[in-house]
Amino acid sequence: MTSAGSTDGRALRAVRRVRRLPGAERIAGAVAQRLRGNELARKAFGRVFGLGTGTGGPVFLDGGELLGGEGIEDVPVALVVTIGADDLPAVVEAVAQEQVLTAGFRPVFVIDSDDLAAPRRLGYPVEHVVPRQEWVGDELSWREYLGRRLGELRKFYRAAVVVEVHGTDDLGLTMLGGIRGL
Amino acid sequence: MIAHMPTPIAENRDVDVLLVSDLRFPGGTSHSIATEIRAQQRVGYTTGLVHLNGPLVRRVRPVNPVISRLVRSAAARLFVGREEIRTRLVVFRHPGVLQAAADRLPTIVAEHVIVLANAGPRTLDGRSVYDVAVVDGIVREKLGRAPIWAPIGPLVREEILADVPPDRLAADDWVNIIDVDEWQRERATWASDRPVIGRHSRSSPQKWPADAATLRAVYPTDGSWEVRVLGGAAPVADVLGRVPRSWQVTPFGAMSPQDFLAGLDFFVYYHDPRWVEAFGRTILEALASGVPAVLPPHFRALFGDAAIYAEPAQVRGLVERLRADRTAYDAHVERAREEVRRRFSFATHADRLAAIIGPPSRVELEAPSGDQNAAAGHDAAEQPDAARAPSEPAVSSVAPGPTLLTPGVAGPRVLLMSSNGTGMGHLTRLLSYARRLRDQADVRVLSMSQAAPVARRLGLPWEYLPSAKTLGMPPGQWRPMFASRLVEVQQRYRPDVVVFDGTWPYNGIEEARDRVPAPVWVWSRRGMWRAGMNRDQLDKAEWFDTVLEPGDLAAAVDAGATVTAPAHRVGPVTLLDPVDGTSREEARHVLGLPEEGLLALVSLGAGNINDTSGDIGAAAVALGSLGVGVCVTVPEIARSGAKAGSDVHLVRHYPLSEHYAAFDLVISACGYNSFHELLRFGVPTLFVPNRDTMLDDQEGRARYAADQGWAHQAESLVTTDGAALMADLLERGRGMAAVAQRADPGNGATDAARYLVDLAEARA
Repeated sequence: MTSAGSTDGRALRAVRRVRRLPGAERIAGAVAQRLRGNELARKAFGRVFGLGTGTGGPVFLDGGELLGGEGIEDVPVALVVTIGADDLPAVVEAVAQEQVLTAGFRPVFVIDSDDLAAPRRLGYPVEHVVPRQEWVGDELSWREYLGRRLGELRKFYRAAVVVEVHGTDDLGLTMLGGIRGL
Repeated sequence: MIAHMPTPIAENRDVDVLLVSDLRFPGGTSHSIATEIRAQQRVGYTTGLVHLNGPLVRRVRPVNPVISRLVRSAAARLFVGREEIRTRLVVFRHPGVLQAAADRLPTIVAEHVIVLANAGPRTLDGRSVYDVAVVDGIVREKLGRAPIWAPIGPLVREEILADVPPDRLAADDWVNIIDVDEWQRERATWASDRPVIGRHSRSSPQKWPADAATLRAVYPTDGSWEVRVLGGAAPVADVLGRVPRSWQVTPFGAMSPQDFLAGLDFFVYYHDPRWVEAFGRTILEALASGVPAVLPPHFRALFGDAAIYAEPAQVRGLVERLRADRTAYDAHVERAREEVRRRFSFATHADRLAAIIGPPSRVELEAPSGDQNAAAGHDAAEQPDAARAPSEPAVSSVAPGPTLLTPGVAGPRVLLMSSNGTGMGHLTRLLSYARRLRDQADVRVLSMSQAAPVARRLGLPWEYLPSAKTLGMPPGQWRPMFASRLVEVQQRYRPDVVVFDGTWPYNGIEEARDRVPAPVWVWSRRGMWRAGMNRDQLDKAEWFDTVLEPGDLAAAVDAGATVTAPAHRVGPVTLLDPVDGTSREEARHVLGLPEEGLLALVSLGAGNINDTSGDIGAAAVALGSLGVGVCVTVPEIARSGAKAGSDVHLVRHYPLSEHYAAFDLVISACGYNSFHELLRFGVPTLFVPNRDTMLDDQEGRARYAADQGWAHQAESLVTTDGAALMADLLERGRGMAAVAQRADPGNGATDAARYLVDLAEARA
């Protein structure tokens, strides 16, 4: 926990201000070099600029257009796997409702359909995987491919959880609703 | 041939009452919303909710649990997304929220609009919370209706009185309501051998008296009475030096307000006199509970005979008198309870809704032949058609054709990769190559465009790679994922040629090339860069084996950095050729447009068709003056939130050039694809270049086309007499466009495809 008035909190606020400046990333690299001797500042800086391996997901990841307010960068990332969902727009809407109700996660949708627009209409990040019926790889099975992709995605987005959601009455939605408590 | 069906609008976005607010408020606002939902459910009105992130809740937080429980139990439906919501009544609770977050509103079609002023326009220290005129303007612009302003109580009424047009100030306050039966508690005896008074509120300084004398007068500190506080009393310490030891202070949420109130003999509530308590929900809860409320006199206008009013110095005597006369006490409780039922109950709310929108829809449906309407004084004939049965926009769309997957085509493998871009230009150029490659190569699309799925309509497998911009990530954080994905796709697909179309090759390409060195890499890079811009970017040609430059009909005035750079140049590239176009009759039929009459397509990117201070709105007005119908593509509507009507037609089709014959005139931005498709297809065109592009010299293209007599151009339709140019195009436009067609060297896509195959075969 970081209290508002703590040194850690002040460091976080300072780097967040820096983050908004033009060329923030370049500045981040330069400053990071000079912070090597300061463990506390390094920790805060890494958290803000996603340079470390924290839990809570990358600081810079769009959580969609529904959540608002300070602290979004601390909301956990959830990989929402919808492969095989019959009605993707309905699934996305159900996930979105859960997100608004709980403010508990930032979803990254993993889809295998052509409906990229369904998650994107709400500004959610979306990843597409080759549908099983289109798989023509001979050296790798589709399941192996999917497993590798999901593993890479989880690592890249630092997802706190991977949840399958295929319908609007799916247990995955319950899991998403409980992420803050997981 | 190719149709793109967007995600269908979510179904069943139709409710009796739509409540729009910031649903995260921790206190009374959320409880009031929840109470109205329950009241509406009880009598059969359906309720929808739209959440807006307002400025008063600063940190990210969930919807208030009292509301989320109702959503989960299906008492109300939480709408997300911008798709149209239809409702008989929309209530915007808290004007400040609407003012701050109006740009997040979905399209709302409502019969009646109420702005519920549940707070005054200014804070205690004079800061503006909202501006009545601004909020009023937002509602009129977004909903096309002038709202009725309903203050939550007399004090707020007084504050907004001067700013709200008199004919739009509700006659009655939109007071909060309460479920009296749920809150009512019987008190057969006194709570203690001493008077027990108490209060329940947030622990904010303005919620407490500002001076010590008043505090001690109304909340004794000497132990003679029991003083109980729910919600914290920290501000008291700032006034008295400490919270009196004799008080019982319980933090917010530690017990239910119902249980707390059940233990009191009197509810005594005084606050900082400089502050305007807009309503005072906790007072209403106390009254419903059956505990007499002792209040400052200004509350009389709101609560009338339901409460007892006294100046601070009179509180002690008043409480002692009633404490000594149980009969008078009980009589007051009974009178207060009746008053609350009459003015603040669920029935009160049902009555005021019925007065505005009639009975619930479900009741209406079950009612025989309109008797219900008559009984409720509700004349269906008065309902505006646009709200009861909104006219459907003339949306044209083509059902998706059969998927034409062609895996296993013999020949080289070509991976076509497009950057993000703001439109579909990069992807369309690649599809132009793909269309000519299909029979001689195995083609796959890897795109950062959200429109990537249109590749399937060409029978092409596609994959999507989210861009850094889409993810909201800085490039440095995105790059490893980009490179890794690029490597993974290549290792799996094993292309002979990779074609990247974009003006900005991404860092990561060189890393991917190191790890998968076999394919030939081609940079498909159009010209017409702005003069002097991004010269250094040409150095990225080193990452590629060759550069393919699609030509430009305006190349004669190209002053950009690419002019002298080495490249394999082909003619201007478009996805379709004129021979692929349909007849006017067929085009209008396919697009669902009227068979007769003049029609113009307006395709100018972002803007609002109802805003005549912008180009799109100005174009619509000019066309209207000429008697020409207006067609707009879906993206424009989606961005602007405009409502299509009988005189505005939505067109959904990709590629639209296939049906250009439907239009007598096109008013278009001047990007590469639009420019070449319109001129190549001989369409009378008024170009309005997008001046905000970083690199694409749209002004140069438009100017050149006008100089050559191919088309007209205008820097802005707001400052130019667009109607005169459009009228001229209706008369001479076909001839002008024919001149452009004669200057066209032909579609370079065929040559480009041949070049790519040659590269692949040379590699082999």
